[in-house]
Amino acid sequence: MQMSISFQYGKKVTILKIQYSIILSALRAGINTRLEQVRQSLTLFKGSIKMYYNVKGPFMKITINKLAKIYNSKKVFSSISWQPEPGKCNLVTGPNGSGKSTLLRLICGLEKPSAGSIKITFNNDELSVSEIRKVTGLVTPDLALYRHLTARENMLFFAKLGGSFPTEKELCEILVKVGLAGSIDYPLAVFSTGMKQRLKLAYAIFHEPALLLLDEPNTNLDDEGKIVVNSIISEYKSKSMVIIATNDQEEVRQYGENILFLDKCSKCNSN
Amino acid sequence: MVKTSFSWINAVSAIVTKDLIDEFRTRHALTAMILFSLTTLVTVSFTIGIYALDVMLHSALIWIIVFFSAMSALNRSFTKEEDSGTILALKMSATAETIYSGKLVFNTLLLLVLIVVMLPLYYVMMNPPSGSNIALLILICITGLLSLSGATTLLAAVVARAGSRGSLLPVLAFPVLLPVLLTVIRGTGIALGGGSGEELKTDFLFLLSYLVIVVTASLLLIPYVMED
Repeated sequence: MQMSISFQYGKKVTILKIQYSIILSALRAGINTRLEQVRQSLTLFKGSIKMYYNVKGPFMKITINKLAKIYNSKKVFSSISWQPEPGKCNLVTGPNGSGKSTLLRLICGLEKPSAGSIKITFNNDELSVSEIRKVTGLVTPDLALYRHLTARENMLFFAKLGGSFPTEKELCEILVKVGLAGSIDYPLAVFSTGMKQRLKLAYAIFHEPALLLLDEPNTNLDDEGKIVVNSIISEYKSKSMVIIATNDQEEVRQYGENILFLDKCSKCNSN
Repeated sequence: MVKTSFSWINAVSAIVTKDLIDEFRTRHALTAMILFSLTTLVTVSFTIGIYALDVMLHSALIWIIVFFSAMSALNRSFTKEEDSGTILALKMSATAETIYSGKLVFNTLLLLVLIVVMLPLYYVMMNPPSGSNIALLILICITGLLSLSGATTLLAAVVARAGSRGSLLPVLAFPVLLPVLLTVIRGTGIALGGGSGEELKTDFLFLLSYLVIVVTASLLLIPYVMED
């Protein structure tokens, strides 16, 4: 068995995986005061610690195998097998109710599959749900930020939850990037839906995620907002794994490089 | 960004601070709780305030008011996150245990405000017998509130996931909190009657044990409640 500890140093997520057996043998040897054995165990222990500095999208691998999701006996989809590719814009498309959003929620561990599996690995080591969430940025219509807090308070709150304290410069940079520089101290209650969508984008990319999941990213955005989304996708495509869910054919043509098509009959085709 | 050594404590304090700011701006829970306790207190005071009641009756009245006022406020701690859709963002950024701990601290603070407002008002309006052991009374109230919020926070998370939320929390919480309520009513009665700490030793021990068990069980169960 191995113990997994993940923590954040700045924007870098570090994961330590430590073998229990080696710790136990070192402790046992320590109790028995066999110094040579302690030394041997400690050498082994040192070797067993795998440090993953900065879990990066290009080195991540997602394998979706015969995945199915059923809600209260209603089948959303079944037998989905797909492998999103790093460096490409991965796109999930299909009509309403075909399970695009559900698939994204399954990938980031917010829901559990009814059958099949999703395996997310980094350097051939499988990541746990909490590790996946730590390195994931999610934008989905179901997700909302706190309407009585300001944009600044929202961003600081989620940064603090992730274990970091952004500087004023970093905070401003990200809000300028999504075009909300002038609204930093306004509560979300006075934001338009487009501005809320922009803040959601800022929330998703604030910790420089290794996996970026965008569900209908252009919803409620004006032309300027769509340019922001394009630039985010172009930027993160090269340094992270990007998966977009959309049913807009124009977006499919614009972004789609590795496409998974879901239809209501639960058949799926990857292209 | 600066490295943080105590990320769990930071995350819990972030949730507490966020909830405090949110509550300060909206005053939903606080208003519901204080108004509920105030109206109940006024009604009780007008009807039986002129009679000289037994200390145990005073104690029971105090905890009935606290229990139902608390239910009206703590009900919202997870429901508001589910209803507004913020629970997704919260779950993406923090573990279930961290969220529970943050909510537990915030709920305890809310209940402390309730008792700070309600107890002096009760003294003014209901005129309990003089000679109470005030220090002991405060101590038993705080211990009772901790146990109350410990159990109710987990149940609030359960209720938030349920379809019919209405008045489910008091129904679910009552059997779980009955041992606490009986102990704390007895303890408060003794404190109001001017009893000594020695008489309340077993009650304190029981309440603290209950608190430890309920918080440990909640920390073990909360991932299943929030994720499944």
